Amino acid sequence: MRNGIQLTIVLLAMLAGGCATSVKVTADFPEPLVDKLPLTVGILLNEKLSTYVHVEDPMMDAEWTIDIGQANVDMFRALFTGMFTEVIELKLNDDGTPTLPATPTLDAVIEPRLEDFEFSVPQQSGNDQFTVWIRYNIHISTPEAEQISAWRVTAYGQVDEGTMGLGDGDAMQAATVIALRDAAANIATGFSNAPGVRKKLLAPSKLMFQEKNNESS
Amino acid sequence: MSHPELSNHSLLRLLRLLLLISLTALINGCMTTRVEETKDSATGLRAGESVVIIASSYHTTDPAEDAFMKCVIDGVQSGRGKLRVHPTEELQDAVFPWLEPRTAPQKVADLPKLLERSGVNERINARGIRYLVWIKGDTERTSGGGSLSCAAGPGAVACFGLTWWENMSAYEASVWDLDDGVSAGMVSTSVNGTSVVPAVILPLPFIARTRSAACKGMSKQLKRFISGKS
Repeated sequence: MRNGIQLTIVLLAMLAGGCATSVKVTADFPEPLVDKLPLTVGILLNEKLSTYVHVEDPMMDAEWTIDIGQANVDMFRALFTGMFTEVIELKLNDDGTPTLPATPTLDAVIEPRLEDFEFSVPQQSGNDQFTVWIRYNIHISTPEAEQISAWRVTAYGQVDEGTMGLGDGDAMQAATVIALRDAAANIATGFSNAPGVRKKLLAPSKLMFQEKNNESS
Repeated sequence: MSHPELSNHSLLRLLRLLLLISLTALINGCMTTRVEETKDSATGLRAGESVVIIASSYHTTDPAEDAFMKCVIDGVQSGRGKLRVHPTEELQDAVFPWLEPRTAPQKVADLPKLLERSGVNERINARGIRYLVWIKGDTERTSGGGSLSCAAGPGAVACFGLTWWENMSAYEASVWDLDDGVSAGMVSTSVNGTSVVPAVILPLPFIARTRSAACKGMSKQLKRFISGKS
């Protein structure tokens, strides 16, 4: 009798496991086609961002495991490389501060932080779409760790269920990639107008330099 | 000279043909299709030129479903009068982030601003892309009724009743001429169809595939419109 109960539990667990969906998000993210800002920035892709895995067991659907760590890294590398004249990837010290290079002198340190990841599946929302929301907080500071801006960026992606023969996992991956691209588009087009950036980072001399460059190109 | 046997035989064949036509029409459901176009400027494609077909942004409009987009792209680049269709994703990557749902121009008045952005026009020209086609619209169930119930017994299942519903597929394509930075015009298609499922023991579904019909109508008309042969 006891063996029978154990067997049932194992079978149920196997059944539940079989329904769970695991997605590792990968994509080639393009560099933005924008005029590069004449800045040398250090970027800090922290551990939470680069290893982020979202696990959720939504109502009326099986468990989802969505790994967007590498996709975060790839997206931000391509984005910042296209946005600034020089980008240096920084490592964190044990005390939580970034290792700054001796040269060149950095204009700013940018650390994107992933604050929230949400999704919905067709069974939940009642429509035929997989949707993904991501919220980042883009921390921009001076090399001396003085805060310039903490800019909240939200992003959204949606894909129809069963598009082009996609399975549920592929549809979730596609919706997440669209949301990541949306975040990149938001940052690339809105950076200069982010709170504090124009005043504290894009000093008038630098803006003038950029405008001269734009005129000559 | 009359041949009564032959006449009867011909009549029988005619009746069979009519029955076949009626059944085909019934199986496909009952649909009415309307295709319209408005031309703002002369169209045509030179050798090597292509078009890009893209769903309108979900930030401001009701973009066509992914399946409809795929169907139209396939339809425009195949069959009689087919056009060269450039892959949408490739162009979106090439001019990223300017054709993303958040940033894409919403109206033709925004087109010159897009083309003036650093590098955008050069990349579009390098690919020989002449027209940008934005598609919006959807398929909705507009009404329905009836009832159908099934019962299962030992070794048998039987259904009785009748159910029906009406779908409306309405889509609109705005065609922008990237050479001149103006609107070339608009093509719209709407298909109204009624699907019926009567059941006497076995259910017989007669489905009106309105989205598929709208896709066919849209693809055919877009080919004519862009090639300048409409």
